[in-house]
Amino acid sequence: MTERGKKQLPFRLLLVALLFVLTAGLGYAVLTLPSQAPGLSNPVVANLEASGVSNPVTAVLLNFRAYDTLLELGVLLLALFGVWSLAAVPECRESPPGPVLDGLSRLLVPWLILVAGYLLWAGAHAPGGAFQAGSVLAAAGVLLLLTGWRLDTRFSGLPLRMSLVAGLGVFVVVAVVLILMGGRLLEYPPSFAGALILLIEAAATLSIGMTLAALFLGARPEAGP
Amino acid sequence: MTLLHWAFDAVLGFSLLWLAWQALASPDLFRAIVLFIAFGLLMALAWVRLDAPDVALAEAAIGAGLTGALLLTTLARLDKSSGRGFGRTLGHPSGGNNRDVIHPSKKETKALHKKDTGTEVHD
Repeated sequence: MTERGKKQLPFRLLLVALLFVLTAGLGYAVLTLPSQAPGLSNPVVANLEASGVSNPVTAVLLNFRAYDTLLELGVLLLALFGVWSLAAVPECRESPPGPVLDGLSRLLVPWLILVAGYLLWAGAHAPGGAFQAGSVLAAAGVLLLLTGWRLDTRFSGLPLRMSLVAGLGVFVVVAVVLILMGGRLLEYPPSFAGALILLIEAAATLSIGMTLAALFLGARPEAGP
Repeated sequence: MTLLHWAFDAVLGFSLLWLAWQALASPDLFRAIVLFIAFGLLMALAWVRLDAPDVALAEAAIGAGLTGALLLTTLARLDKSSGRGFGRTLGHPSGGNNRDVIHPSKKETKALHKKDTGTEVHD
Protein backbone atom coordinates (compact mmCIF):
# COMPACT_ATOMS: atom_id res chain seq x y z
CA MET A 1 0.00 0.00 0.00
CA THR A 2 2.77 2.43 0.93
CA GLU A 3 4.75 1.49 -2.18
CA ARG A 4 1.73 2.13 -4.33
CA GLY A 5 1.22 5.41 -2.51
CA LYS A 6 4.80 6.44 -3.28
CA LYS A 7 4.35 5.61 -6.93
CA GLN A 8 1.16 7.65 -7.04
CA LEU A 9 2.64 10.68 -5.32
CA PRO A 10 3.98 12.44 -8.48
CA PHE A 11 0.64 11.86 -10.19
CA ARG A 12 -1.18 13.30 -7.21
CA LEU A 13 1.03 16.36 -7.19
CA LEU A 14 0.47 16.76 -10.92
CA LEU A 15 -3.28 16.43 -10.36
CA VAL A 16 -3.21 19.01 -7.60
CA ALA A 17 -1.24 21.38 -9.84
CA LEU A 18 -3.63 20.88 -12.75
CA LEU A 19 -6.66 21.39 -10.53
CA PHE A 20 -5.08 24.54 -9.14
CA VAL A 21 -4.52 25.88 -12.67
CA LEU A 22 -8.10 24.99 -13.59
CA THR A 23 -9.48 26.71 -10.48
CA ALA A 24 -7.38 29.81 -11.10
CA GLY A 25 -8.46 29.89 -14.77
CA LEU A 26 -12.13 29.50 -13.88
CA GLY A 27 -11.87 32.14 -11.16
CA TYR A 28 -10.18 34.55 -13.57
CA ALA A 29 -12.83 33.89 -16.23
CA VAL A 30 -15.68 34.49 -13.79
CA LEU A 31 -14.12 37.62 -12.33
CA THR A 32 -13.46 39.18 -15.75
CA LEU A 33 -17.06 38.64 -16.91
CA PRO A 34 -18.87 41.91 -17.51
CA SER A 35 -21.31 42.50 -14.67
CA GLN A 36 -24.07 43.60 -17.04
CA ALA A 37 -24.22 41.32 -20.07
CA PRO A 38 -27.57 41.61 -21.84
CA GLY A 39 -26.58 39.02 -24.44
CA LEU A 40 -29.48 38.31 -26.78
CA SER A 41 -32.20 39.17 -24.29
CA ASN A 42 -33.02 42.50 -25.96
CA PRO A 43 -33.69 40.98 -29.41
CA VAL A 44 -35.78 38.28 -27.69
CA VAL A 45 -37.91 40.87 -25.89
CA ALA A 46 -38.23 42.90 -29.09
CA ASN A 47 -39.55 39.89 -31.03
CA LEU A 48 -41.64 38.37 -28.25
CA GLU A 49 -44.85 39.66 -29.85
CA ALA A 50 -44.25 37.62 -33.00
CA SER A 51 -43.33 34.41 -31.16
CA GLY A 52 -46.88 33.47 -30.14
CA VAL A 53 -46.09 33.07 -26.43
CA SER A 54 -45.31 35.56 -23.67
CA ASN A 55 -42.75 33.49 -21.74
CA PRO A 56 -39.33 34.38 -23.20
CA VAL A 57 -37.86 30.97 -22.30
CA THR A 58 -40.57 29.12 -24.21
CA ALA A 59 -40.24 31.62 -27.06
CA VAL A 60 -36.53 30.80 -27.37
CA LEU A 61 -36.92 27.04 -26.94
CA LEU A 62 -39.91 26.49 -29.20
CA ASN A 63 -39.65 29.34 -31.70
CA PHE A 64 -36.34 31.19 -32.05
CA ARG A 65 -34.20 28.12 -31.39
CA ALA A 66 -36.78 25.43 -32.11
CA TYR A 67 -34.18 23.53 -34.10
CA ASP A 68 -32.28 22.77 -30.87
CA THR A 69 -35.40 21.42 -29.19
CA LEU A 70 -36.10 19.29 -32.26
CA LEU A 71 -32.65 17.75 -31.99
CA GLU A 72 -33.07 17.25 -28.21
CA LEU A 73 -36.19 15.19 -28.83
CA GLY A 74 -34.20 13.19 -31.38
CA VAL A 75 -31.43 12.54 -28.85
CA LEU A 76 -33.96 11.35 -26.26
CA LEU A 77 -35.46 8.94 -28.77
CA LEU A 78 -32.01 7.66 -29.77
CA ALA A 79 -31.19 7.01 -26.10
CA LEU A 80 -34.30 4.85 -25.82
CA PHE A 81 -33.35 2.98 -29.02
CA GLY A 82 -29.98 2.25 -27.43
CA VAL A 83 -31.55 0.91 -24.23
CA TRP A 84 -34.06 -1.19 -26.13
CA SER A 85 -31.42 -2.74 -28.32
CA LEU A 86 -29.23 -3.63 -25.33
CA ALA A 87 -31.61 -4.92 -22.70
CA ALA A 88 -32.96 -8.41 -22.31
CA VAL A 89 -36.60 -9.31 -21.80
CA PRO A 90 -38.16 -7.48 -18.87
CA GLU A 91 -38.34 -9.41 -15.66
CA CYS A 92 -41.47 -9.64 -13.56
CA ARG A 93 -41.82 -7.86 -10.26
CA GLU A 94 -40.56 -9.92 -7.36
CA SER A 95 -42.79 -8.68 -4.55
CA PRO A 96 -46.20 -6.98 -4.46
CA PRO A 97 -46.11 -3.29 -3.51
CA GLY A 98 -46.65 -2.32 0.11
CA PRO A 99 -49.89 -0.65 1.19
CA VAL A 100 -48.26 2.79 1.34
CA LEU A 101 -46.90 2.64 -2.21
CA ASP A 102 -50.15 1.16 -3.47
CA GLY A 103 -52.39 3.77 -1.84
CA LEU A 104 -50.12 6.71 -2.49
CA SER A 105 -49.70 5.91 -6.16
CA ARG A 106 -53.48 5.77 -6.61
CA LEU A 107 -53.68 9.18 -4.98
CA LEU A 108 -50.69 10.78 -6.74
CA VAL A 109 -50.92 9.59 -10.34
CA PRO A 110 -54.08 11.59 -11.22
CA TRP A 111 -52.53 14.65 -9.58
CA LEU A 112 -49.30 14.21 -11.51
CA ILE A 113 -51.19 13.99 -14.80
CA LEU A 114 -53.10 17.14 -13.88
CA VAL A 115 -49.88 18.96 -12.95
CA ALA A 116 -48.28 17.87 -16.24
CA GLY A 117 -51.23 19.35 -18.13
CA TYR A 118 -50.97 22.57 -16.14
CA LEU A 119 -47.22 22.90 -16.73
CA LEU A 120 -47.77 22.35 -20.45
CA TRP A 121 -50.45 25.05 -20.58
CA ALA A 122 -48.59 27.45 -18.28
CA GLY A 123 -45.44 27.22 -20.40
CA ALA A 124 -46.87 29.84 -22.77
CA HIS A 125 -46.75 32.62 -20.18
CA ALA A 126 -44.93 31.35 -17.08
CA PRO A 127 -42.14 28.88 -16.17
CA GLY A 128 -43.09 25.46 -17.45
CA GLY A 129 -43.17 23.78 -20.80
CA ALA A 130 -42.85 20.46 -22.55
CA PHE A 131 -39.78 19.06 -20.81
CA GLN A 132 -41.03 19.89 -17.31
CA ALA A 133 -44.52 18.58 -18.06
CA GLY A 134 -43.09 15.49 -19.72
CA SER A 135 -40.87 14.67 -16.77
CA VAL A 136 -43.81 15.03 -14.35
CA LEU A 137 -45.76 12.68 -16.60
CA ALA A 138 -42.79 10.32 -16.55
CA ALA A 139 -42.77 10.48 -12.74
CA ALA A 140 -46.37 9.22 -12.81
CA GLY A 141 -45.24 6.42 -15.12
CA VAL A 142 -42.32 5.50 -12.86
CA LEU A 143 -44.64 5.39 -9.85
CA LEU A 144 -47.00 3.07 -11.73
CA LEU A 145 -44.12 0.86 -12.85
CA LEU A 146 -42.90 0.65 -9.25
CA THR A 147 -46.27 -0.65 -8.12
CA GLY A 148 -45.95 -3.48 -10.63
CA TRP A 149 -48.24 -2.02 -13.28
CA ARG A 150 -47.29 -2.85 -16.87
CA LEU A 151 -48.67 -1.56 -20.13
CA ASP A 152 -51.19 -3.99 -21.58
CA THR A 153 -49.59 -6.02 -24.35
CA ARG A 154 -52.28 -4.78 -26.73
CA PHE A 155 -50.83 -1.27 -26.43
CA SER A 156 -47.13 -2.04 -26.13
CA GLY A 157 -46.70 -2.62 -29.86
CA LEU A 158 -47.61 0.08 -32.36
CA PRO A 159 -49.53 2.42 -29.98
CA LEU A 160 -46.54 2.71 -27.64
CA ARG A 161 -44.16 3.37 -30.52
CA MET A 162 -46.52 5.96 -31.98
CA SER A 163 -46.64 7.86 -28.69
CA LEU A 164 -42.85 7.65 -28.37
CA VAL A 165 -42.20 9.25 -31.77
CA ALA A 166 -45.19 11.64 -31.66
CA GLY A 167 -43.15 14.61 -30.38
CA LEU A 168 -40.40 14.34 -32.94
CA GLY A 169 -42.89 13.38 -35.65
CA VAL A 170 -45.18 16.38 -35.13
CA PHE A 171 -42.14 18.66 -34.95
CA VAL A 172 -40.73 17.36 -38.23
CA VAL A 173 -44.13 17.44 -39.95
CA VAL A 174 -44.62 21.08 -38.90
CA ALA A 175 -41.13 21.94 -40.13
CA VAL A 176 -41.65 20.25 -43.50
CA VAL A 177 -45.10 21.78 -44.01
CA LEU A 178 -43.72 25.23 -43.23
CA ILE A 179 -40.92 24.74 -45.75
CA LEU A 180 -43.42 23.55 -48.38
CA MET A 181 -45.54 26.62 -47.66
CA GLY A 182 -42.57 28.74 -48.67
CA GLY A 183 -41.12 29.63 -45.29
CA ARG A 184 -37.79 28.74 -43.80
CA LEU A 185 -37.14 25.84 -41.39
CA LEU A 186 -39.44 26.21 -38.34
CA GLU A 187 -40.28 29.84 -39.14
CA TYR A 188 -43.84 29.99 -37.79
CA PRO A 189 -46.25 32.55 -39.25
CA PRO A 190 -46.93 34.92 -36.30
CA SER A 191 -50.71 34.58 -36.69
CA PHE A 192 -50.80 30.95 -35.57
CA ALA A 193 -47.39 30.54 -33.94
CA GLY A 194 -49.01 30.10 -30.51
CA ALA A 195 -51.25 27.28 -31.73
CA LEU A 196 -48.33 25.54 -33.46
CA ILE A 197 -46.17 25.80 -30.32
CA LEU A 198 -48.97 24.34 -28.19
CA LEU A 199 -49.47 21.49 -30.68
CA ILE A 200 -45.75 20.67 -30.76
CA GLU A 201 -45.44 20.94 -26.98
CA ALA A 202 -48.45 18.70 -26.37
CA ALA A 203 -47.02 15.96 -28.58
CA ALA A 204 -43.55 16.47 -27.12
CA THR A 205 -44.90 16.21 -23.55
CA LEU A 206 -46.49 12.86 -24.31
CA SER A 207 -43.36 11.57 -26.02
CA ILE A 208 -40.98 12.82 -23.31
CA GLY A 209 -43.12 11.29 -20.57
CA MET A 210 -43.39 7.95 -22.32
CA THR A 211 -39.69 7.90 -23.28
CA LEU A 212 -38.44 8.66 -19.77
CA ALA A 213 -40.80 6.08 -18.22
CA ALA A 214 -39.69 3.54 -20.84
CA LEU A 215 -36.05 4.31 -19.99
CA PHE A 216 -36.90 3.54 -16.35
CA LEU A 217 -38.41 0.21 -17.37
CA GLY A 218 -35.08 -0.42 -19.06
CA ALA A 219 -36.19 -2.96 -21.63
CA ARG A 220 -38.43 -3.23 -24.63
CA PRO A 221 -41.89 -4.31 -23.48
CA GLU A 222 -43.12 -7.43 -25.19
CA ALA A 223 -45.71 -6.72 -27.81
CA GLY A 224 -48.71 -9.02 -27.89
CA PRO A 225 -51.51 -9.56 -30.39
CA MET B 1 -32.39 41.19 4.13
CA THR B 2 -29.39 41.29 1.84
CA LEU B 3 -27.25 39.81 4.60
CA LEU B 4 -29.77 36.99 4.99
CA HIS B 5 -29.59 36.33 1.25
CA TRP B 6 -25.82 36.28 1.37
CA ALA B 7 -25.83 33.84 4.28
CA PHE B 8 -28.38 31.61 2.55
CA ASP B 9 -26.38 31.61 -0.70
CA ALA B 10 -23.16 30.82 1.14
CA VAL B 11 -24.74 27.88 3.01
CA LEU B 12 -26.31 26.67 -0.24
CA GLY B 13 -23.03 26.89 -2.14
CA PHE B 14 -21.02 25.08 0.50
CA SER B 15 -23.70 22.41 0.89
CA LEU B 16 -23.62 21.82 -2.86
CA LEU B 17 -19.84 21.45 -2.89
CA TRP B 18 -19.92 19.17 0.15
CA LEU B 19 -22.71 17.00 -1.27
CA ALA B 20 -20.93 16.76 -4.62
CA TRP B 21 -17.71 15.67 -2.93
CA GLN B 22 -19.50 13.18 -0.70
CA ALA B 23 -21.41 11.71 -3.64
CA LEU B 24 -18.18 11.27 -5.62
CA ALA B 25 -16.12 9.94 -2.71
CA SER B 26 -18.70 7.61 -1.21
CA PRO B 27 -17.68 3.95 -1.57
CA ASP B 28 -21.28 2.90 -0.96
CA LEU B 29 -23.10 3.29 -4.27
CA PHE B 30 -26.56 3.47 -2.72
CA ARG B 31 -25.43 6.29 -0.46
CA ALA B 32 -23.79 8.04 -3.41
CA ILE B 33 -27.07 7.97 -5.36
CA VAL B 34 -29.08 9.33 -2.43
CA LEU B 35 -26.50 12.10 -2.08
CA PHE B 36 -26.76 12.79 -5.81
CA ILE B 37 -30.55 13.19 -5.49
CA ALA B 38 -30.07 15.56 -2.54
CA PHE B 39 -27.53 17.46 -4.65
CA GLY B 40 -30.09 17.77 -7.46
CA LEU B 41 -32.73 19.18 -5.11
CA LEU B 42 -30.35 21.76 -3.65
CA MET B 43 -29.19 22.59 -7.18
CA ALA B 44 -32.81 23.33 -8.09
CA LEU B 45 -32.90 25.72 -5.12
CA ALA B 46 -29.73 27.37 -6.44
CA TRP B 47 -31.38 27.87 -9.85
CA VAL B 48 -34.33 29.53 -8.11
CA ARG B 49 -31.89 31.85 -6.35
CA LEU B 50 -30.36 32.66 -9.76
CA ASP B 51 -33.84 33.69 -11.04
CA ALA B 52 -34.10 30.74 -13.40
CA PRO B 53 -37.32 28.95 -12.37
CA ASP B 54 -37.54 27.10 -15.69
CA VAL B 55 -34.18 25.47 -15.18
CA ALA B 56 -35.06 24.81 -11.52
CA LEU B 57 -38.20 22.91 -12.53
CA ALA B 58 -36.27 20.83 -15.05
CA GLU B 59 -33.46 20.19 -12.57
CA ALA B 60 -35.82 19.03 -9.82
CA ALA B 61 -37.89 16.82 -12.11
CA ILE B 62 -35.22 15.39 -14.42
CA GLY B 63 -31.92 15.95 -12.60
CA ALA B 64 -32.99 14.86 -9.14
CA GLY B 65 -36.13 12.77 -9.67
CA LEU B 66 -35.80 10.74 -12.83
CA THR B 67 -32.02 10.45 -12.99
CA GLY B 68 -32.08 9.28 -9.37
CA ALA B 69 -34.72 6.68 -10.17
CA LEU B 70 -32.72 5.53 -13.22
CA LEU B 71 -29.53 5.25 -11.17
CA LEU B 72 -31.34 3.26 -8.46
CA THR B 73 -32.73 0.74 -11.00
CA THR B 74 -29.28 0.45 -12.54
CA LEU B 75 -27.84 -0.28 -9.10
CA ALA B 76 -30.50 -2.93 -8.48
CA ARG B 77 -29.59 -4.59 -11.78
CA LEU B 78 -25.86 -4.40 -11.08
CA ASP B 79 -26.47 -6.15 -7.76
CA LYS B 80 -28.63 -8.77 -9.40
CA SER B 81 -26.10 -9.51 -12.13
CA SER B 82 -23.22 -9.86 -9.68
CA GLY B 83 -25.19 -11.62 -6.94
CA ARG B 84 -24.50 -8.97 -4.32
CA GLY B 85 -26.60 -7.27 -1.72
CA PHE B 86 -28.06 -3.80 -2.06
CA GLY B 87 -24.89 -2.09 -3.25
CA ARG B 88 -23.51 -2.15 0.26
CA THR B 89 -19.91 -2.84 -0.66
CA LEU B 90 -18.26 -0.70 1.94
CA GLY B 91 -14.61 0.12 1.45
CA HIS B 92 -14.65 -0.70 -2.23
CA PRO B 93 -15.34 2.07 -4.73
CA SER B 94 -16.10 -0.16 -7.69
CA GLY B 95 -19.38 -1.29 -6.18
CA GLY B 96 -20.93 -4.51 -7.36
CA ASN B 97 -19.23 -5.21 -10.66
CA ASN B 98 -17.82 -8.58 -11.61
CA ARG B 99 -14.23 -7.78 -10.76
CA ASP B 100 -14.64 -7.66 -7.04
CA VAL B 101 -16.57 -10.91 -7.02
CA ILE B 102 -13.47 -12.65 -8.34
CA HIS B 103 -11.07 -10.70 -6.15
CA PRO B 104 -12.46 -10.15 -2.68
CA SER B 105 -11.46 -6.89 -1.07
CA LYS B 106 -8.43 -6.59 1.15
CA LYS B 107 -10.40 -6.81 4.38
CA GLU B 108 -12.13 -9.98 3.29
CA THR B 109 -8.83 -11.56 2.23
CA LYS B 110 -7.42 -10.74 5.60
CA ALA B 111 -10.39 -12.30 7.33
CA LEU B 112 -10.12 -15.41 5.16
CA HIS B 113 -6.42 -15.80 5.91
CA LYS B 114 -7.06 -15.40 9.59
CA LYS B 115 -9.71 -18.09 9.49
CA ASP B 116 -7.51 -20.49 7.52
CA THR B 117 -4.19 -20.26 9.29
CA GLY B 118 -5.01 -18.65 12.58
CA THR B 119 -1.91 -16.46 12.29
CA GLU B 120 -1.51 -12.73 11.92
CA VAL B 121 -1.35 -11.50 8.34
CA HIS B 122 0.98 -8.59 7.69
CA ASP B 123 0.43 -6.27 4.81
